[in-house]
Amino acid sequence: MLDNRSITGRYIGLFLLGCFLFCYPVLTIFNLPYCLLGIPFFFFYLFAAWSILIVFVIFCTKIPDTFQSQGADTAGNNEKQSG
Amino acid sequence: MLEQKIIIFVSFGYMGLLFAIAFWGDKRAEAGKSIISNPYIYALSLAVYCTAWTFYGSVGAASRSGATGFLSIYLGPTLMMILGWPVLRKIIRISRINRITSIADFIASRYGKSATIAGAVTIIAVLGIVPYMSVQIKAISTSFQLISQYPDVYMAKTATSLSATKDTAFSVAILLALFSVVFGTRHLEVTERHEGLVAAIAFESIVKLIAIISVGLFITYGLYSGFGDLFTQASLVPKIKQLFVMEVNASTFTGWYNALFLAMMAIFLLPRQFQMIVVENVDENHLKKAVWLFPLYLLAINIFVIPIAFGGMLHFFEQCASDPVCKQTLPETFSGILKFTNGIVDADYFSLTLLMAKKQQGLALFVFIGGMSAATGMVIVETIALSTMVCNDLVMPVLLRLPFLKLEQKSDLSRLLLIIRRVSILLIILLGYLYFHYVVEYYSLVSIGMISFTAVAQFCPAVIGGIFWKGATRRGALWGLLAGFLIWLYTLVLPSLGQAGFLSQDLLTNGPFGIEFLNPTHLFGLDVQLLGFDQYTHAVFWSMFTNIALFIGVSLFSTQNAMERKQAILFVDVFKYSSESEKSSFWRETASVADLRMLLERFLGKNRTDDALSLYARQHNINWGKKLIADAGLVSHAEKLLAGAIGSASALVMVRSVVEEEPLGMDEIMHILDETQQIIIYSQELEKATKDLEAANERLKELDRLKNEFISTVTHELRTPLTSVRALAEIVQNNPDLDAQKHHRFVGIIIKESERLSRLINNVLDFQKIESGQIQWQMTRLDFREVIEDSIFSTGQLIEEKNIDLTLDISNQAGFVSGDKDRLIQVMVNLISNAVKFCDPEYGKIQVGMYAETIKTGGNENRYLKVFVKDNGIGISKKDQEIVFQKFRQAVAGSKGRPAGTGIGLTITQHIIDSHGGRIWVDSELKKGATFFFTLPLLQ
Amino acid sequence: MKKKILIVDDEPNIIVPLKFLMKQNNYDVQTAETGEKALDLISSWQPDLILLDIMLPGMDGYEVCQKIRQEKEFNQIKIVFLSAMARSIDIAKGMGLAADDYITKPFATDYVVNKIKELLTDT
Repeated sequence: MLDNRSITGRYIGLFLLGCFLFCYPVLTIFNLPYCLLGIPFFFFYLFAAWSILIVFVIFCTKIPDTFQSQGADTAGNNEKQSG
Repeated sequence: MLEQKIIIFVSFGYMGLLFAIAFWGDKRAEAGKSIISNPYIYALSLAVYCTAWTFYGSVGAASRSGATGFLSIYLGPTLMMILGWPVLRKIIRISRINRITSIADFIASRYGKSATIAGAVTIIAVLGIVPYMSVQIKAISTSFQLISQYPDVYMAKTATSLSATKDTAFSVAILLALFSVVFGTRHLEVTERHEGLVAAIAFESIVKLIAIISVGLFITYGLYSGFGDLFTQASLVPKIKQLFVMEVNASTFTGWYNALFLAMMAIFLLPRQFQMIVVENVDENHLKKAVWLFPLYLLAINIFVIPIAFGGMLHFFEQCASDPVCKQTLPETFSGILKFTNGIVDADYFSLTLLMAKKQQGLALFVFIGGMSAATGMVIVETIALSTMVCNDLVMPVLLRLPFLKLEQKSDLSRLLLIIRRVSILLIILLGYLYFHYVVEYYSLVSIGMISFTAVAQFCPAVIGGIFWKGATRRGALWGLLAGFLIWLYTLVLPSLGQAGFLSQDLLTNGPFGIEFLNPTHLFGLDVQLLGFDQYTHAVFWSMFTNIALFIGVSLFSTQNAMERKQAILFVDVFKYSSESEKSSFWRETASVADLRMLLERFLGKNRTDDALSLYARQHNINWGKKLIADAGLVSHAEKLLAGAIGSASALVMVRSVVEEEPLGMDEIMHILDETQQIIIYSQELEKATKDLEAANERLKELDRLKNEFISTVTHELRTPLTSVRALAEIVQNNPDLDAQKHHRFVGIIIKESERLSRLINNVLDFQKIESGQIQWQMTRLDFREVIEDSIFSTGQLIEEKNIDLTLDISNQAGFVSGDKDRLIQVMVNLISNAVKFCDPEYGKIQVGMYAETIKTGGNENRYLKVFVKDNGIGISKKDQEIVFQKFRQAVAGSKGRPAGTGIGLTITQHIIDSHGGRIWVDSELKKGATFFFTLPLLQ
Repeated sequence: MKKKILIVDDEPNIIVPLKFLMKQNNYDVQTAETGEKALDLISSWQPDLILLDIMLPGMDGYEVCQKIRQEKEFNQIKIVFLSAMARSIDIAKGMGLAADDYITKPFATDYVVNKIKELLTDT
């Protein structure tokens, strides 16, 4: 249960990251009239952000279960300490 | 010149290939070697999302408005897939458990298996998808026409060419319909997954991906020397250069978010997406890989969209500059259409026309196949999903309710189901064609697609709210759906029909009856210009606003019936109930197995019914021969099987007809269970407490009885010697002239009986000590022969008086034991005096002996000393042998054999032996004497 | 003619004083340690009075009393229970079996002798 919840938490975190990367104000930051490696900066940003997001999702699914449960444990401990 | 025959031949060849793959996939599935049971095929099958809209339309959108014009349609699904684990997995789990066959089934099932909801969702889905369907028809027929006139890239805009397009489109629609029918309804296989179809779609996804990447590579590296070169060239053209950045204004802003939201919803709410993601899902865990594989696919298919668009623009703008008509008509911002002298060039088909212009005959044909592949894939899956919905949730519920059809009495309905499905496929595609015929030519591919996306987004509150909020009610969902749907019709469909000339333009400019407030393009006076809302954003805003508001509002102010509550709990808490859902029964009453079987056979056919029931029997150890009454579990199971074939709403009606009992709500059941459980627990506790009390009372009573018995026994024991003492003492006192001999004898008895009295009193005291555990043991190493000798010495007089024949059976070998000598002597004295007391009064015989014995217990050898005292008295009955050692029990008065009054000596004896690690028992038969045995551990 | 008294008891040390007392008062005395022996003696010797213990090996005193009372020819035999069982329930049970008296042990010798005299002069 704890494992499931922590996985769900990861995905929701990534989802929020995705929302941030592709939200309108952030897009305007990268909306620059330059080229990077011969590619318009804006296009470059969009595809790079997209790729990075996918890579993060891959990481999220590839993290071994033991590490995940450990991560969940430490998170729990931290909570206890702070609380 | 590319001959039309070749194009048609290749197209049919490709379709045949898809069909072969589907056939192979089905065969493999039947053989139990599923080819689709892996996450890669699953992820590829989700790519049915990428239709002609993606294949052709994205390029057009990119050339009109750059990256923001098309990317949000793919970023939305990417974001949604990231939420796959918490959201989609839940939907998949719910659907698997409830045997959901479509999005309509899903929503209806959530809201109490409501047939009304199912119907409403089906109507919205069908009408909503029609524009989308027409996009595919348009794409296939246009691309076919284009490639047929190879190498001429210009589409003539004449009346004849238009009607030719429409004729082509009609043929395409008919062929698509036939193909879909053949593909989707070869056999009634609705609960099971369409494995072959999934395999074919996965293949189709690969083909379209390779096709678009091939064009991209050709343009980027064939026509130009890479991305850098392409973009450098493009930057020289101001109309292209302005697309390098997005236009920062309200319109881009709202359009971006709007498309992002619609795409997020469409990825799982479109009937075909729901079919692929949910219904055809083989294993929930495939989702784990699909959450990144599918976005990766989307990324890959989009990488070359901008290069293709810019490549096309570069080429055709150049052409345009040399064309007198085009030069004049080219507007400041590119609208996607270039009007040449010989006809027009549509940016949507740049990938095809650019290849044709560059004389790439083979590659162009491949691209055409890729585009056709994308379009047909969508049409097939969409129509299969929609026809299932139309059949299960629209037609069948109506037919089942029409009494004159007497459908309940028909023995085999599976043929009828098949026919309904086929007809609905034809009708849906025909509707798509009609929409194309009258409306679509005025719109680009993407903009028509948006109309459909807006329609299916109406399912979002009912679905998402339904799986996370138990309070969502049927009324709330229905009101929300209907309101959203009506606004969609009013703000999107109506204007598109107006545009096509079906309605007066007046409506669009001034509102109905001149009421500006109700103007479908800016409803309720919304200032769309200021907000930057285009007509889609406007429609999405109002439809979603009313939908969500009514969904939540009406839900809060309406109540759920039992079935709704049960389904709400089952959906929202699916992970809690999913393991035991099959077992939990919602039916109060039972049905006859024969009735259920007949019902299933009518909809599933005999073979599948037999298979399904025998599987159930195996899982539940049921012998159909013996089982005549279907219990609630089986009824539920049958309902689910039926739900697969005819949808949950219809299945409920059918099962009800057999069971003739209202199902119980889950809540009610839980409530009942809860209460019963409480009562059971309470009464169990009460019972237990009562039992404990009774037992305690019994123990007390028993103790009381034993105490009384003890007192009466002890007093009896005390009275007997006391009687002698008193009587003889009185005689001696009253007869002073008693002769010396008698006097001596009487006084002797008095003394002896007094001794007996003190012994008794000591015994009682010992007993009391034993009871309270106060005995101090003086353990020493001793030879048990000494104990026997000492005890015989102290009972010697007794034995002599009774003239008893005592034999000693002691081996020469010493038997060393560890023990309290005095206590062990007490044991022997007790046993011997018992024997003296009970041995035959005339020819009394007592035998005392000891010998060593080895007892094997487990692997250990234990050496014991076994001592026995045997008499030839009246014996002890078997019953009394068991209780003779018990405290207070001195054999029950009135029983045969030894009289009561053997004292508490034996209890004490037993305790002493126990404390020495030994065991004591008696072996006796009535009238044949008794032998008391005891053992003591021997010292080595 | 001397009256005949049968003493039924399994405690030899109680028989001793009873036998002495009965002989002293000119009764003919026989003793039995068990109920079975007592019944034999009753048939063969036909005592006038029986001093009957209850706690006997084998057949108990109650049973012996019952058996005597079932025979019409023994109707005249006086039965006196002489028992260490002193609870009222035991006494009631004894008297319920149509015994003539129930004396609890330990007893006063005078009382027993007087009681026997009383019972035997009645007839």
